[in-house]
Amino acid sequence: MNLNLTIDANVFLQAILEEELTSAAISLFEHINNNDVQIINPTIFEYEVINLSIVNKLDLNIVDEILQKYKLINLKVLFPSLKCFKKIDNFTQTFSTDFYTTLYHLFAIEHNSIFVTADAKYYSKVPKSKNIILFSKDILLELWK
Amino acid sequence: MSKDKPLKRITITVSDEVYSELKAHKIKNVSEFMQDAALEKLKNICQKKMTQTLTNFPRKKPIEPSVSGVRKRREIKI
Repeated sequence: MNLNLTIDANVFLQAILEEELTSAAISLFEHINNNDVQIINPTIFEYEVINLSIVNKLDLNIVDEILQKYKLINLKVLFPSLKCFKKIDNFTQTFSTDFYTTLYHLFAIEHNSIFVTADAKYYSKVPKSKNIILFSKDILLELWK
Repeated sequence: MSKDKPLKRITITVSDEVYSELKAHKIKNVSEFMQDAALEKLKNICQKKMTQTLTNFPRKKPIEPSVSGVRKRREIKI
């Protein structure tokens, strides 16, 4: 099945940090690489990855290399539409969510993709739909069941 | 292809298998076909390299973990 994914920066960062779900994150990106899955993300994604990479003192050359390679093949980074921005205010007020995670979520809805987030707090606040999934160790099974 | 740019002719030798493939698909525009093939090859190389780079990434225990680190920055109120 062809899927478009919108990957939260917190999922990507798990693949390059040493965390509990790092192996699940690597498996997800390996699967994406090997199966021509398209990642479509809002522009903020790159800023967030770079920001936390600096905080965590990661090798920025390699982080940049990975991002550039993804952009060449699987990753499309787009500025969100005005329509998307206009929906944020109502959504954040209704569900008490933050601006940026909501932006990822609405961006995924607009592009008919699935927002993969590791933020359980955000996930618990919003209505469950086909456009959002919580990152877990079973993410591959969840996405390609 | 732009009309003001002269076309360049090249001769290529292909195996029987590739020749049959070209004939079977009635591929007339070989340059386009080769470009697609080259891009596909490049894509495969990049995919392999990407997986390698990610697998061999010099990971560190986070000073600020991904989820809380990202959330902290997102929750700053205007």
